[in-house]
Amino acid sequence: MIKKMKIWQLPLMVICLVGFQLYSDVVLAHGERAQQAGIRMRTMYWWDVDVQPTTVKVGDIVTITGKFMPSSFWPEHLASSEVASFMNIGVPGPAFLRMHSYVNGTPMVRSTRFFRGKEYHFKVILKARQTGVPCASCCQC
Amino acid sequence: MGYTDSVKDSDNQSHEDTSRSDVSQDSAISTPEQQRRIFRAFDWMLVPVASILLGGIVVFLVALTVGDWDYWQDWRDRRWWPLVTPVSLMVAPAVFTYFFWKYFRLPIAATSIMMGYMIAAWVSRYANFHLFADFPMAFVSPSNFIGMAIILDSVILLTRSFYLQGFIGAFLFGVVIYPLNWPAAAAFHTPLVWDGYIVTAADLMGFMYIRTAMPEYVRIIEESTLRTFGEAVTPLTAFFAGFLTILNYYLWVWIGSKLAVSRWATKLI
Repeated sequence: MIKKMKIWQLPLMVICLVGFQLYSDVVLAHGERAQQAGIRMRTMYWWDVDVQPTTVKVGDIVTITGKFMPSSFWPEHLASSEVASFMNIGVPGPAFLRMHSYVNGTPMVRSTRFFRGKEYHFKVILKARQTGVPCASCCQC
Repeated sequence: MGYTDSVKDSDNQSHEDTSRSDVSQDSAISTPEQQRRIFRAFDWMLVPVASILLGGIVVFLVALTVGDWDYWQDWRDRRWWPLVTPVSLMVAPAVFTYFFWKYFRLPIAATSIMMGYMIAAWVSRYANFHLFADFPMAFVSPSNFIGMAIILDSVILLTRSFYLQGFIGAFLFGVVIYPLNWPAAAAFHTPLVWDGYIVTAADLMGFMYIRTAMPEYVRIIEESTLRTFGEAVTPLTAFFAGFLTILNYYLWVWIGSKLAVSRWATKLI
């Protein structure tokens, strides 16, 4: 009985493994690949980024402005910015509320398309919601 | 099942086998009434513990298969949330319905599991999402699935058939998820205008309470907007979810039938 089971189990396992490998797709939900240096160099270029002011109280407004350009060498295995893109911002939890977000003066409530090689100007207006950890007491850097 | 049989057995044994009756006199359980009470106490202890344990298992299952679709108000869209959620939620109730109904004639599997899941989900959302990450509780409160489970259990109670439970109960399990959650979701579907765009209250909360790299799935699927508004797509999705849930129910009842055999227990012992 055990020998028979092993005989038919082995090809079944191989088929399952090969099928899983062939069928598996690129993960894109949570920015898993966004942190790889080689990929960051080939996706979005950011410059003239300015954050004002850098120290705020709860309820104060922070304005972030700058420019970006999708790379002409965008990797083929990443979802293209020319299909659907959303102007997001990274904060540690909802410590800030995003009040408004603009690209070239257009509100970015919804997604849009960003074309390769084209320069865009962005502006994000945040409102401070929670007090953060003071820099001196943080051991991260 | 085992309770009445064992009471009969103990009565017969007390008359026929004197050596065993000596043993029973040493035991704390010497009468059928005491035995009945012990069985009841064991049930009262076992059912809540099993519900919470199975609910915890479903929390993991939902986290892996449904995940963000049910974590956030603005992800409960009209296309994928009513489809993915019932298909995934059917797994554990189908497996344990076979076990509980086949061996104990108890139509409680789905309801107990879903109750356990809801308790675990509320603890998780309050502790992790609200206290730890500081999202508003209204934005991350879980959907309600208990009604779906009650329908599923009621069908097997009335029809006493796995086939009909799958055909009627599992179909309704998939269909009713949106209407059951509509009263809680309605307020979040209020249309608002923000920066010149029409959005729902849920969409606006998703825009304001920042989550890194989210919610891109729904935006990509819906091509630029979240559209948590219902409209005509919702009933079509509900019926499709119902049909898929039927198939999923039969699959997992079959798997349950393979797992709920004494062979696995004897191998462990």
